[in-house]
Amino acid sequence: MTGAPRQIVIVGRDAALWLTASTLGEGLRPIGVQVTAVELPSSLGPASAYTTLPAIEALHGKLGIDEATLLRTTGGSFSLGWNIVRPGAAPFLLAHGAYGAPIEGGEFFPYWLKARRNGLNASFEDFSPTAMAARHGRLLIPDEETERFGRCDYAYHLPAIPYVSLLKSRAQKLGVTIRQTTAVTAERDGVSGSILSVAPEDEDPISGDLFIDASGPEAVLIGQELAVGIESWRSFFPFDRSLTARAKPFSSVPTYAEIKLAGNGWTTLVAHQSATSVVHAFSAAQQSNDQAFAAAGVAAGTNVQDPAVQAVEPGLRSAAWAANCIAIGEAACALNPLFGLDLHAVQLGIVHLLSLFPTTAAADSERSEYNRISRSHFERLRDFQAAPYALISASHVVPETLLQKLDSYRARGTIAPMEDETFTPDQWRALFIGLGLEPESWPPAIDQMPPEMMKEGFRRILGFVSAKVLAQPTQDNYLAEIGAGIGA
Amino acid sequence: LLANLDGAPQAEPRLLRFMPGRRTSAWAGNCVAIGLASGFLEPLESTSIFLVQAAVVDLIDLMPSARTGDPVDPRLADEFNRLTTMHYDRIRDFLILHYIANERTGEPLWDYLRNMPIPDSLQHKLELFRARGQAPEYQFGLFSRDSWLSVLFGQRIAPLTHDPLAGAFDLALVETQVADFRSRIDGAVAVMPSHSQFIAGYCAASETVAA
Repeated sequence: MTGAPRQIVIVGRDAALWLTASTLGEGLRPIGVQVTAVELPSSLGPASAYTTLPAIEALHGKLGIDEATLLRTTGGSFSLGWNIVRPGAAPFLLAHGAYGAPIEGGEFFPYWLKARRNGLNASFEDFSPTAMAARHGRLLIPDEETERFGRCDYAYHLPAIPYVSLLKSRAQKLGVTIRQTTAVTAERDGVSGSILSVAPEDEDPISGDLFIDASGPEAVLIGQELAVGIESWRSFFPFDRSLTARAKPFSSVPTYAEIKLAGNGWTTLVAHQSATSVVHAFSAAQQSNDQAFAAAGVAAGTNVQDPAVQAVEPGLRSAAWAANCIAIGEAACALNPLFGLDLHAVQLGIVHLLSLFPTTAAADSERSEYNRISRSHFERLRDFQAAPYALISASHVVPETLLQKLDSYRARGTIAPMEDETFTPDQWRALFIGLGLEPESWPPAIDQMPPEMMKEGFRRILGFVSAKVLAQPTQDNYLAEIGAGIGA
Repeated sequence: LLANLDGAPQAEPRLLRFMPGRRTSAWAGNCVAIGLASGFLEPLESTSIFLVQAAVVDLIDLMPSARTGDPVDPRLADEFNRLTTMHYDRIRDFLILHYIANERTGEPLWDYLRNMPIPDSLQHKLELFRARGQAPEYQFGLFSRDSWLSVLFGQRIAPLTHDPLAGAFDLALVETQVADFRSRIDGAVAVMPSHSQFIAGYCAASETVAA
């Protein structure tokens, strides 16, 4: 091969495999690239669910996956963010939307901070239409007014098994060749080390120009075959196990996921139409699997079933792309399970690959850029996940870049601008404020604004938020309205 | 310099000497360097005023407490210095780009510049552009992707090939659309006033100002 790759072989499982296969099938078919998916046995259980981020909507759009169909066929639901609950403190909403809007052209946060210090009752989330809609059991359907106000996004909770089969059928329709196997072996070029072909068990080898490893932590190609190592993030995250189980669905499905933080673990309830998926993260040294199962039940407040325990070993593959093999998803970066960002990590890998689809067999420039940009994105995700651990217990090591963020936030309330962020400054601040971290000062320049003008700004925003929230449908009503209810 | 002037010089030429670089910390203790005191890259692209503006904006955000006698919070200085370094380093790469792609062979200065060692960050940007026409795109910093593209193309650095995904577009259709775009630009430019017409109507210098 001398030019751009013509044959792509993806080895993997579950959403990492099928989101990659369908998106590459869609994006590369017009230039005549053939995509083959080699499917390994699923590691999903009946309780597994994906939490998405708002960005997935655009990808679904490219794949021709209609929202109502998506939620109806998977039993999924809308989500406006996370409600985070911890002992001895007020819960807070970490929402996919703006918190406040500029006052007289000036950034909202410093004004809120100053007013808060001077006795303002309204919390940070009171100024967020998205957070308040979630708090009141409503959705927030973006319109022209919310557009003018600021970001008002939403995401989904998707039961994993039906979502994966939806993606697989899209891949099939988009012309992806599908092979199933329990294991693969690879043949490599003795000189360059590049992969020449992969062979499913008892079958002929499938040759390709570019190989994608979407096999998850097993990393059958990038790890087992190419021996690319992992930089461990263990020191930033205390928990090494995650238990997934499911409880009966809520009678009225909430519009957020709920994270309950406790000393020896946290539990997330991911509510959707068909069930409530429960994820409990813990440390094997502190809790047995049975104790974790019991803790998950207590946090869920009801019986849970179908438990599955997974080892969690957070870390970054030192190169996501090595030779002619690209790792996507957990094979590239094993994130901590907090916030359930795995599907987003898959999307980042796919988007970067499409924007750097190689022009040559060697692909040296693309490989180095892909590795640079992936690392940068993954490290920002890691920092966001590490923040609650760093703030709740002082005993962990904190990544250097997160320390910079924490320092400038504590000193001044700014979120140090960094490239390749997934979360917005508002979300960082909502997280910090919610976890009880208040900045020590605000920019003195804002003291010029007369208090009346500031108060008028607050009244205007609070008025908008409450009017907007009142006009919103509940999850159940809206699902029925768009034909996305599973009873429909 | 004098040979290139249209008329007589209005003042004697002034010679400025400079050493390109930035101060290791623009903010140290209770002293903040802004403008030339914080560093200087090059007269090329006149980035000094931008750097002053960026520093002022950052300083307003990070201005320490107004209470006399309070010690300056070093965390504010650290963030200011981090931002200043980012601005300088990105502009530095952009300016060096103007020199290394020169085609003036046989002239010692330009021969040297073409072959001099350059920062890894710029080397990486250049390789990516040469390979596939992809230009840097960052969220923070002065020069946009379009600025990079215009200098890269202006310096006649030719990408070996294009993004393979562009192969999906029908060439004839692309040519039509590009031609249409071009003619709309020409149309928009044609109705614009000349520079001197615009100044005369908008902000003509008053004759009463003494020299």
